[in-house]
Amino acid sequence: MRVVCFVIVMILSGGLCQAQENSVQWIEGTVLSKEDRSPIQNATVFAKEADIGVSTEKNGKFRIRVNSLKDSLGISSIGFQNIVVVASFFENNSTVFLLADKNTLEEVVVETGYQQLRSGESTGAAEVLDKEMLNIQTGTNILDRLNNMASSVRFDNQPIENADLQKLNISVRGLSTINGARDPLIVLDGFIYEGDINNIDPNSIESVSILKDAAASAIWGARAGNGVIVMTSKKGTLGAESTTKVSVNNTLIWKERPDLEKLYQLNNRDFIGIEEMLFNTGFYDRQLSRTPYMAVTPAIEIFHNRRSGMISVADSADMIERLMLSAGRGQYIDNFIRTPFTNQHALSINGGSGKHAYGFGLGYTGDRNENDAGNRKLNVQLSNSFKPTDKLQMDVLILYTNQHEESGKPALSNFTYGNKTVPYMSFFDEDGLPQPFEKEYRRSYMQEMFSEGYLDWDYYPLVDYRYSRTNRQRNEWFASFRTQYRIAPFLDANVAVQYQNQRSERIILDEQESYFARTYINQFMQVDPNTGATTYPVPLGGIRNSAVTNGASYTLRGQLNFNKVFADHKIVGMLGVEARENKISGENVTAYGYNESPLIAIPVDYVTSYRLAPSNSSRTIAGTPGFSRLTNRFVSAYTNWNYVWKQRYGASVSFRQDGANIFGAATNDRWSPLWSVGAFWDVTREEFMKIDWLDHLKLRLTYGYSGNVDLRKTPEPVANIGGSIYTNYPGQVIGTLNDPNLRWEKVGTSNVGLDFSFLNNRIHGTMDYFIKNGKDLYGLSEYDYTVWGLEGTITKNVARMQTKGWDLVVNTRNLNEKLKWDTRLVLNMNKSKTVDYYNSLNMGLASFLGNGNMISPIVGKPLYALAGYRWMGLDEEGNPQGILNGEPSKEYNKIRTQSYQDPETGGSIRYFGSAKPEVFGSIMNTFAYQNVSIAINISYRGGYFFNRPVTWYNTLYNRGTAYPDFEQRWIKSGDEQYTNVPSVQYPLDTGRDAFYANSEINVLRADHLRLEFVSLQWNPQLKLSGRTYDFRLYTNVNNLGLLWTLNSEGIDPEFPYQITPPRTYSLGFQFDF
Amino acid sequence: MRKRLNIYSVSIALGILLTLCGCNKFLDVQSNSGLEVPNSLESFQKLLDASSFVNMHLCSYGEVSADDYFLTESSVNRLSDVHRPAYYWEKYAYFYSNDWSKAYTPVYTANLVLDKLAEIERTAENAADWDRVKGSALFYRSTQFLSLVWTFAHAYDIASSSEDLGIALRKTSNPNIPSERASVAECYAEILNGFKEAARLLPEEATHVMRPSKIASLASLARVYLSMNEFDSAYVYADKALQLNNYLLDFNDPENVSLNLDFPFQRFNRETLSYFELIPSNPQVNFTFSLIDTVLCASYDENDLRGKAYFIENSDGYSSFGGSYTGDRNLFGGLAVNELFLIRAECLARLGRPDEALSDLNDLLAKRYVTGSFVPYENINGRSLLDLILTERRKELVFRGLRWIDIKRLNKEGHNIVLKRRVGEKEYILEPGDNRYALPLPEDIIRQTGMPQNPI
Repeated sequence: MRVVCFVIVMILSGGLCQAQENSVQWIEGTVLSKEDRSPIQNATVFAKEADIGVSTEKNGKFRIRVNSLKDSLGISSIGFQNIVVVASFFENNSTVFLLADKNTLEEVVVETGYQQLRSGESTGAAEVLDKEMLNIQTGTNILDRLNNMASSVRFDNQPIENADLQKLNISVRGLSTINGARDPLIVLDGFIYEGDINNIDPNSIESVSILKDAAASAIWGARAGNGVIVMTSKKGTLGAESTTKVSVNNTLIWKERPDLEKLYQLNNRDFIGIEEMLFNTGFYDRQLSRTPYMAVTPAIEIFHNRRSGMISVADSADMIERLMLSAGRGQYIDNFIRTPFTNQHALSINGGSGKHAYGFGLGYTGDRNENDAGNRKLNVQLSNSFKPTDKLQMDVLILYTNQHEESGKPALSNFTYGNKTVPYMSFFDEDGLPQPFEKEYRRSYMQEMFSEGYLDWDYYPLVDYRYSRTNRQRNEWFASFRTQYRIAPFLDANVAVQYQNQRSERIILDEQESYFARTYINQFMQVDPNTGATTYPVPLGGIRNSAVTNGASYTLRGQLNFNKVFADHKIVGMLGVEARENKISGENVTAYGYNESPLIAIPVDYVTSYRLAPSNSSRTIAGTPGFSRLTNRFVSAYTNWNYVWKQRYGASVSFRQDGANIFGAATNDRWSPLWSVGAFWDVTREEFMKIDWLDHLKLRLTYGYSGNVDLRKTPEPVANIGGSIYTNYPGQVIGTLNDPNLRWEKVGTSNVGLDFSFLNNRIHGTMDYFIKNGKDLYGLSEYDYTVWGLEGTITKNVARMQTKGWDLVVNTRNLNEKLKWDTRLVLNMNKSKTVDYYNSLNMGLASFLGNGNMISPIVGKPLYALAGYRWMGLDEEGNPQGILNGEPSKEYNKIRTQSYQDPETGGSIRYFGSAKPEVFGSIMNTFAYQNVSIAINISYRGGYFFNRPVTWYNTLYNRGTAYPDFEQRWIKSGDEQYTNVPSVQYPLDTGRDAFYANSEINVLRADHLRLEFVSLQWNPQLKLSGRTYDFRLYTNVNNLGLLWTLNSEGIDPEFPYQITPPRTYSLGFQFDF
Repeated sequence: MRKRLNIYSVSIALGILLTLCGCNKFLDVQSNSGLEVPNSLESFQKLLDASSFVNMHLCSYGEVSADDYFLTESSVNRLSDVHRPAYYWEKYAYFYSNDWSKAYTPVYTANLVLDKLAEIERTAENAADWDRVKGSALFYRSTQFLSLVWTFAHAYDIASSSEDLGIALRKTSNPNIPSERASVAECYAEILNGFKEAARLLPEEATHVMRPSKIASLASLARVYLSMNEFDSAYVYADKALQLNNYLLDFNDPENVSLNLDFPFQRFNRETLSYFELIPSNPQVNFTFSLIDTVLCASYDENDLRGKAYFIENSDGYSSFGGSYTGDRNLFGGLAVNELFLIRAECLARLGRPDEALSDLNDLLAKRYVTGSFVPYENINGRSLLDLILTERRKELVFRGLRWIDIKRLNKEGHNIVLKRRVGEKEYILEPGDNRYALPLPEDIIRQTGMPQNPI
């Protein structure tokens, strides 16, 4: 690292020393857009005689040296018509206006976080979504607005597989790691954002850039391997004229109530029939005799009472008949579900003059979900830019977020009898009074054996949530301060500091009235066998658990920006160093005997083991205070240079070296930067390419590396407590071998891209082909265990994977009359495969059995994939049959063994393919007539398979849940002709359920089309006393459902037999003045 | 202008320089404070006190290959494909986990302690702890090296040992330093250095026999020299150790030896100088399989209490081993006074001091026989004295992890011990000087490191 530092310092000092000038005539001016008088940044001003060129600043200002006032200045900027002005025009610091060039492409500015690059300078693949695109959808999460808009970002509908490695559940251009972190890097206003993404107010974001290839993302170094999403917030701009813009925005969002009745459940009769069968065959005997205190379902209770003679046969039949009539789910919906509603309000005020610009934003979001859980969020945003002199600029940005969440009513899945769901549950008794629920304990038994001295053991679902509440509070500060000094017209020095602090607090309070507190107190209550006196190791009162997490990060950055035009050459570059720390600390404390008024808690004994009622097992009281602290530190040096010749050819190069306290010393000391190179060729700038219908054609080519780190890793040998036997000496043993060579994973990306525009921009877009090679990925590796010996494999940077694919964005204007019709197509194709991986328990294809939502690295195969057992139908008794050694077989365990010992030739298993979409995209059609427009977005996901959930009888018996295939089950001989659903069986063959569930008949094509949203806007320009006001009224309907799927059953592959995301209606307006 | 620019450039350059010079310190902070990174004398001692990872990892592969036991045919058939060939010395490839991996675990611990100890200054205040930690780490490392070299290399031979393949002498905790096989001579030199340094650093007696001491180091040195057939040095160190402790258990004393039990000895009995166990995972020498060689079993005199104390007679007439100083089924591989008596006696006999040798032998046997029944040996010398002592050595030190190296070193002198295994009708023979006396290294280690395999 030292060498790097030295080199950089030398470069810096060298660069600075040359920044000296000979005084000649200097003139200054400002370049603004004719249309809206906004400053044009990076316009080229070229003095012909002096043969020198400069670029304009953010505020459109420039300063240039001329030989004489007669010199002519050529002023050009992409998207505007060039003009030539005599230098004397600027003698008194005048302003020149450029006319928008309607024929050329609207220029896109890519914000990389470290610098802004215009498309005429950049070689990299980046996708920029501006305010308009982000506004098409509504919602409270900024990332959700990228869904179906960006070509390369895939939002996964399946639950997060490993919360340690993944929080956002999105991927950019498919996977690039096997065991490493999977989230793309989120950058907010130039700095890594470590906070909760929900804290960001979508209304405060001006644009989002998605950096996809190495030339774009390698500048973020060791954390850019999964792609980088750069967000830029709205700010005031320094301009020649003083302006003030106020914008008010309100959105109301309703969601449909989830239709829980759609979730399959057995009808009461079938369900009770199965329960009766189980009871009569002795399924419950063991439980009822050994653990009589454990809850059983109401039907089992009745059967038990009948068998033990407590009720008559007639009575029991009567009671069962009554159960048959219960419709618990309907009662649940009536009492626990409401229509979710969200309201969002935002106000922003921006303004600026030549020397000062400011921005102020205020946002409020209120949300109540279907279970009545609430969330309130307040966002305050403040930005200020000062420019006391022409050379010095200071920017301050402060974001504050306060978020409060409170829990609501319990979810449906909470209502179980000893973990078993029943369709005939009931919340009210015959008289319509609230009825207690037997959650864990059997009421009849507890009343008989454990009532005296104990608190009530019953659970009252209709009121319990009032006494058992979870509150979350999150406060976040994100602030940055930046000073920029213009050393020379072409050279800026920049020092920036960023600080972020997020504190979140979660409090679970279970008052003494709550089921949880009563049960816990009861379990620990001790009765003296001699005197009968009772003591309460868990004291009477509430139980309050608080978990506080504090995250603080800071970044210190020094950077030089270089921007110079001379003759046909243009060089844009930067060079910087950065130190960064992120610290997360947490604590978790439980208080017992808690009372709000007077505010007290009672100490408890965490050490002694107590005999628990009613199970008689021994346990200590949970909740000893716990603390944690994680510190990540990075030191980085980076540089990026872009060179453009005649606006026709461009080249770029970037380097970044990272050192971190999670890498080993050997890694930190070695000079091995992540780098990228790139080139472009703007074909249309060639004389021979002046073709009428071709507006723009640019070919890009890049290659380079970015990295990926697991922030939990440590280079130090870490000791676990223990290991001492026969003595009382405290021992500790190294549980993880230290690896001084531990380093980041490397993702090498090759990208070939094409930007195109035809027919007066009627068709324009980009197309990219990429190959991502994940190298040095964390993976298990055989090693020389002579060095340690405690494990046969260790995690090293050894695994490899590859993802290849296409990104495509095409915008067309199909009709350009009074009615305008635009189409935007975004499409991504990506295929990933494991290239190199060591698997000590190599199960081959058998690893792909299941739901496909887990990474299974098998060389040559996608990371997520599905396989199924070969299916030979049901036999004449309704048992499923597979293939074993070429013969139909019911030896499920042998089939299983065969399928991983000999997957290829054994014939027991069949491989299907990827379990994640290899193709995804969307097509959005926008129709505009005058100031009304409507956008319709349809998404496509394809090239993958899903596993249809089916009934496991074992789960049905124990948990009470089943799937619709139950209706088609084999019932009588001959049914095997028509159905593939095995017969109800008890006792179960081991492996029978798993064999059927994982067989090939349940692996289906998942390709589908979905109507994502329809959005309508009315956007009139209101003229009031000479001023124009921008008004926008919009409405949006989201999640309109499945249009088509390739599987013949018509099952929604993303949500098979589940509640699909609710249809969402929003209505809102925005008013700018 | 020029001046101002220079001021800026210098200040920016300085600022950046200052930031970056702190780089390495800045990055030194520990990433997860909940995990302990050992960096104090106290934490080093804890690493060395993790007895289940430090004192339980002596190789038992030598015992697997030696002749104190045999397996019935059905037992052989129950062994896995990996373990079966080892019983009759047949070539086979085996992988993690094994004696090699287990025996090197304490080596890593010792190396880590030694590497980290180098960063802590020895001061007047911490001298005692510092010395103990360093001495302990050296002792453990040499102990493991010795066990490994006895198992995976040929016996020391002054003529060939600088060429013979020894073991990997790992002396750093840095996993990136590749392993290489040193010569047998280098191995023994390293082992001796380690024990000598440990003897200098460690207190005479430790607070517990699971911690190393000076006595244990001296006793180890006697062991090492004996196995090198360097009897004068072996004598010196055995003698030094015995001067510090020469307590022998009296097998007649029910307080010490409960002859009515299957496992009559107590863990940490008074003969134990330093406590180690052999790796228990080799099924061949597991209590449930292994049966004691019938000739060995029959060699104990009726009045010799060792016959009763050591063996458990099974219903089929064969005997299992119950005489471990661990007091249970696990095999003891540590240092004890009885071994020192036998080392000193053997050395004295070889050094031409028969009377003193006999005195040591008689002292030992007097405690082993029924009180009053033992008739002390007299007037024996030369080869017959040596043979007597070696016979008693074998009878005394059953399953102590010593037999395999004893066979090798004695065969170097021409004792011509031939090992035989019978499985069903098939007989396997291991002749003296056979290459297979250096047991094969794990196949995955050969593959990973490129170290040469022991030739068959």
